[in-house]
Amino acid sequence: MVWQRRHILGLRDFTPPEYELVLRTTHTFQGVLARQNRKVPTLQGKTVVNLFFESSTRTRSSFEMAAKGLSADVLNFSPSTSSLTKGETILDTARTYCAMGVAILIVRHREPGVPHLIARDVDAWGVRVFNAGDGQHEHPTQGLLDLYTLCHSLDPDQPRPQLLRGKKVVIVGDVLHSRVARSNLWALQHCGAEVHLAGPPTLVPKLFRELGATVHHQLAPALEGAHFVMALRIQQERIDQQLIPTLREYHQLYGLNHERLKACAPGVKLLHPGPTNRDVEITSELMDDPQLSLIDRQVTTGLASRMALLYLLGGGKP
Amino acid sequence: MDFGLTGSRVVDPTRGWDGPEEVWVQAGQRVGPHETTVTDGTGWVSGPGLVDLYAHSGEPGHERRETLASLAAAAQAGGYQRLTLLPDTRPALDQVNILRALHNTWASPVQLGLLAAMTLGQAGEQTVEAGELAPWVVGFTDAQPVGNWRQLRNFLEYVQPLARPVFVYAREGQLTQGVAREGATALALGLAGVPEVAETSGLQTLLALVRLTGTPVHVMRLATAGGVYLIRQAKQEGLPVTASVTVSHLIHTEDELWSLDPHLRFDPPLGSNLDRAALLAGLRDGTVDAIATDHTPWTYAEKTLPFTQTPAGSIMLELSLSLLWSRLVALGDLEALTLWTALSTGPRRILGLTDDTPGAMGWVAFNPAEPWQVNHQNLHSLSPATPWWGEMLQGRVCRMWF
Repeated sequence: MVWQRRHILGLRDFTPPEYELVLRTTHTFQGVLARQNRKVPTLQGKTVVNLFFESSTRTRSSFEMAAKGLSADVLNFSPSTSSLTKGETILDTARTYCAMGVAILIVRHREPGVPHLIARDVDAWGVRVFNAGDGQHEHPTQGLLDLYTLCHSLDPDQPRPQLLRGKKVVIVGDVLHSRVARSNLWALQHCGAEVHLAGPPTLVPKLFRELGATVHHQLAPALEGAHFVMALRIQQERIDQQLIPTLREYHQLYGLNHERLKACAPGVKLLHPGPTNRDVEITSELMDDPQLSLIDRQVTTGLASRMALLYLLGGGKP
Repeated sequence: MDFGLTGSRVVDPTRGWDGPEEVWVQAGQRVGPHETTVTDGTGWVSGPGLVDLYAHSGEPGHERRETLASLAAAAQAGGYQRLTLLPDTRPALDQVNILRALHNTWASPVQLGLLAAMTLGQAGEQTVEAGELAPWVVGFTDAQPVGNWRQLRNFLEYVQPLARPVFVYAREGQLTQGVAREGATALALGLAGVPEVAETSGLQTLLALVRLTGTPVHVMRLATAGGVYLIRQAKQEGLPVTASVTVSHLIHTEDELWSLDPHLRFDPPLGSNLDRAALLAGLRDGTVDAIATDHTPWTYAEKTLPFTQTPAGSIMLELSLSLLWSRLVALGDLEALTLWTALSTGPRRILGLTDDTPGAMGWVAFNPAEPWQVNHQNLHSLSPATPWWGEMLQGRVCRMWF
């Protein structure tokens, strides 16, 4: 298959051949990262801009390392020191970079649709846009790296989407406010996994059934026979919004620990997109258990996966 | 007014007529053929001039969005013989001197009606001097979700002797926080949802107040299937209630939100296909009396914000007939006569206008086959705020007689 997509904005409309190509390319870059010389020249002479309107450590660093691994020049945009404070529109900011001749914009914003807005506007310049997280909408590169992490744990030599067919994946926590959950929901379902969502009704509305997921408001039946469990962060803000009473009660009802995971399928693996609140959504012991946790693996994979995506969008030939 | 128009399909709600007919008008009355300037309208559709129930003006206060002159030109280009302005100018339409100034500034054959604010600055607190304002206005409204039901109740009592309708955007203020209709689409897009009960609970309270006070109320921006049901019941009960829907809610649904195009942000948010079907059914059976443009001009900078941050609404005066005809009438979703009723005699009744002669209503001719592009060259409005920007539309008003 030949890569056609010009921007990576979300996974809702991704196709099976695209997942397959992304996983294959990610696997290749895992190999590159294992070498002594971790650099390839694909994006040499091209500039990648991290346009992060919302602060981020891991995603921004991951994109920056990935772009540098492809020999690109990287610019980091930080809103506090920019002309945004002077009232410049988002599109004008993006256009300024286009006029400087950048090749790829990596956009994160606290509101849904901003990468899409920018992509529509800069497409004519030949500039490519990544959605690095838009509000509670999508975080496609996280979804793709999680996909690789899952498939890799099932077959380290040949990670491929078909491995997920019939696997039960449970996402536990604040699904309503999670862009990671939404991107994962699409990717996992497209690859044939059964997606189960668990958490209190205010954070996991039953309406998610209309998006194809099974919804649980009790943890035990959700975990039964699960092959993968993904925990999501719970923020203090949800208490202020009267969506849950306390973090303490959340942990009692939905916190993940060794005991509760016993109901899962043998060999169950645990994921968390980070940042983690230890002892709220997951106990410290569980998080640090190398037998169960793929959390560090997710971060490593993030680099290879973003290199692969930059490579595909930058016009590289595998 | 003196003209002849031959060859056109006449859609005339005043007589319930839809068919080929010659139109001869002398001194504002329909007459037989006589010596006058005759226009060949072959292929055109013609009918009484359109009446808009509510539109936003940029002037005074935000002339970069729209001036009274550009608004009037847009209305005329869209086939509107009468325009009704919402009070949310800066300053708001809450004092006689502002109303007087607006009427004096108005220089257009399009007739101007004003809706005064119900409370000072539309803040929902202090009631305007309604008795003094009444001669200058066609009605009262704050055009916002209701935050203060006690004030509204007292206002409905107070204005009863003034014989002016009160327009209410019947939404429960606290349930209205959100940017899209609550449902699977909003959920997948990560957009805060407004539940249908924001409208139905607001309507139920409003209808109870109408039952209590007996004051005629116009329900603006009806948008949900549940809302249509409640209005239908209220009319059967004999309550003095009328209702209108906006053009956008008949043309668009939440299914288009996947693009997250800020131009599709509306207040109330776009509904489902079921809501749209219920609104159309409401038009057909007379539950919904009128289609309003809710023309809302914004500048380019105001509409290139994220979906959640951009202000709601779009321009409509010059697009409405083209969109409604090509997307509803031409596709068989709405009878031409039903559409024209909701755009002319329907809103006239709500405004208390009873003279149905061409002299009072004007006459408009529309060429349903003419293609045109939505851009600065073709629009009179100053604002580019529309999801149709750059698109080709079919059907355009070609002639107006005042």
